[in-house]
Amino acid sequence: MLGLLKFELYKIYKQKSIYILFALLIAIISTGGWIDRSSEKVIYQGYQKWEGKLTAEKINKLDRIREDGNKKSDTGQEFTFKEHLLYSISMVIFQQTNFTEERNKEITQLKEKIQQTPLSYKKRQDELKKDMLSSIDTSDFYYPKGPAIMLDMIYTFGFVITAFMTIIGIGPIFSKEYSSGMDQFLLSSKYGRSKAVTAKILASLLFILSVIAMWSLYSVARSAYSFGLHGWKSSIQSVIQFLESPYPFSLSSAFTLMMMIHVIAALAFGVLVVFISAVSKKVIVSVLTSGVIFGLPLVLDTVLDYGGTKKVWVDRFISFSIYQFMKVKELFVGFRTYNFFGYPVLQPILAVILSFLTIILFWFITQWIMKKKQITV
Amino acid sequence: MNLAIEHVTKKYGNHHAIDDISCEFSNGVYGILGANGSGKTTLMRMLATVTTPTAGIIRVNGKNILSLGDDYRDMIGYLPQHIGLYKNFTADKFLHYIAALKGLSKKEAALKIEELLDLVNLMDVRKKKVGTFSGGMKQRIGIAQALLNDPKILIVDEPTAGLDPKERIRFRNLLSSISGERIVLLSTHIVSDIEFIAKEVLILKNGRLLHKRNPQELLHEIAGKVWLVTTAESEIPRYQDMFKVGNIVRSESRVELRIISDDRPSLAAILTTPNLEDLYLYFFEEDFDAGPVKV
Repeated sequence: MLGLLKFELYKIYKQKSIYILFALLIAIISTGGWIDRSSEKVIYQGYQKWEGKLTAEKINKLDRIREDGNKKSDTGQEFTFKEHLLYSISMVIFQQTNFTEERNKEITQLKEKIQQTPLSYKKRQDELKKDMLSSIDTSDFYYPKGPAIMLDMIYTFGFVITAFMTIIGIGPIFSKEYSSGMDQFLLSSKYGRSKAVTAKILASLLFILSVIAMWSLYSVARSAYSFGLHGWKSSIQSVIQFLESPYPFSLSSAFTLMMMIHVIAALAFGVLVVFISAVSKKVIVSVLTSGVIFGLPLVLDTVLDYGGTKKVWVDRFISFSIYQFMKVKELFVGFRTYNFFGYPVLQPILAVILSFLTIILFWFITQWIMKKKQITV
Repeated sequence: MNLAIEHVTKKYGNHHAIDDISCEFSNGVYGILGANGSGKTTLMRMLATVTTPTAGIIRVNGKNILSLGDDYRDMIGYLPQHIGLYKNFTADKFLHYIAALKGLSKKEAALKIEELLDLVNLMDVRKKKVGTFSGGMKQRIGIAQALLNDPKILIVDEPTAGLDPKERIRFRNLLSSISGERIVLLSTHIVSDIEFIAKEVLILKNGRLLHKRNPQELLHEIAGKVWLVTTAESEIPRYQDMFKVGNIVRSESRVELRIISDDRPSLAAILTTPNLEDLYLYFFEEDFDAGPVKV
């Protein structure tokens, strides 16, 4: 088995197209991505003074800075760099404290609602939300730029790199055997319908893991170089896209969790691509089909996001697509649960379960198909 | 070792590629003779399990080969008609890959590959990429991969296509020498491939098995039907219109025609001993290409 796995890995990594594509994608995302480190250092020093527990004293001071800044802004006066920095910090804290107040109000409303509602899915859902909101701790303040950029990499470029590399690297894994005529050796040999299939799937998964490791390393290196490696203790709500997130995570746990979900969803997509390749006689068919499965919800999401009209079924289709699971972000921005025998299941948990089911199902189907495979022409 | 084909049929839509064939094989070389489209490749593919019969069963030592699955595939070596190779693999790497597919250990594979590369005369180019190989070299590496697992049943589909005469003789002798302990099934439309080594010849036409006999018995069937006629060159078209004409040999101003006919084609015709080429012509007249004229 190990021998076959080595050969399958060799076949995947011998494809020049994967290196060209990876280099191209990294080149695209690197354009304008590097920051002036000296000014960034000054910004961080500005933030550093306010880091730690957000005391009433700190909040009062920042309130005054914000009010002065507002006056200056209204009268059209210019800000010095330092003033602008302080004003920005005061605005961030203001936004954060406002949302904390709103969250507390929602918790109170939920408590009242729970008392009035009889035991049901709705009640359990409200209880879950109340518990989650109550666990959020935004009393600490840290400059989160570095971790925020790393988090951003997952749902802006990272998931696209993983998907493109999977489609190009794994798409030909079986269909190239058919188009080259090598399938006859495979199907007539002792392990060609069993261990070789397992080896192909395992090699695909290892390839995907290596792709994710590569762009993650790039992302970490870039963020660490530009912004440093601090801010991980900050809450996920300190990142503007997750301001209303009900998940009580620090940025370090959010990043770990989101990367794990991305990996699981990417492996599910990988097994799906292997299956598509196993049933496609031509490489182009395999690549295009895989591309459509990943790309269609992405296109719908992007187009309809600008159009602003999403029908319920389209929303469901996008929510349960492999694209959305790999992107991860939307799973954590809001509170979304699904009724499972009267119990609410959070969308990220459902995404992980569905990804695992996809892996198991398509792994099994691919093995079965190859066991029964016949050459027809 | 006993391999039995029992009422096997293979249909593609309404077309019968193989139509109710039954026969048995024991150790030795079997030549499967047929024109293009006669069903040779389909039969070979079913024997190699890369395709399955629409009806009927193929058994080895009494057991259905499809039920045996990987255990059956462990017994066979298969050289398909059109071989595909990984262009980026060296000959050595390709054979190691096939050895892994066949379940050979690294050590066993290394020894066997050494032996086979020598046998097919590719030792010097073992580190060269197979994408740079000529047709004949590709065919030879195909032969080597089929023999990697020391198969009990060797299925070779048009194995000598692309080989030069010297390699063809070498390969023919190789098959003959290893056939004592195994079943060798060799499909071809080149009569000389099997003329001297086949224990039995199977004649396939339009998916049906017309004959399965030893070459002598088959030749006996056309005894008294092969004639030599010496005539003028201008007479060739007339004879070709009326009879199945095989070899045409020129000598000075006359030509000698080899004619297959139930009746004497001319008063001057002389009966001659039939060979397998005549037999092929007898069964596959419409597909026969007499080839170049011998002088």
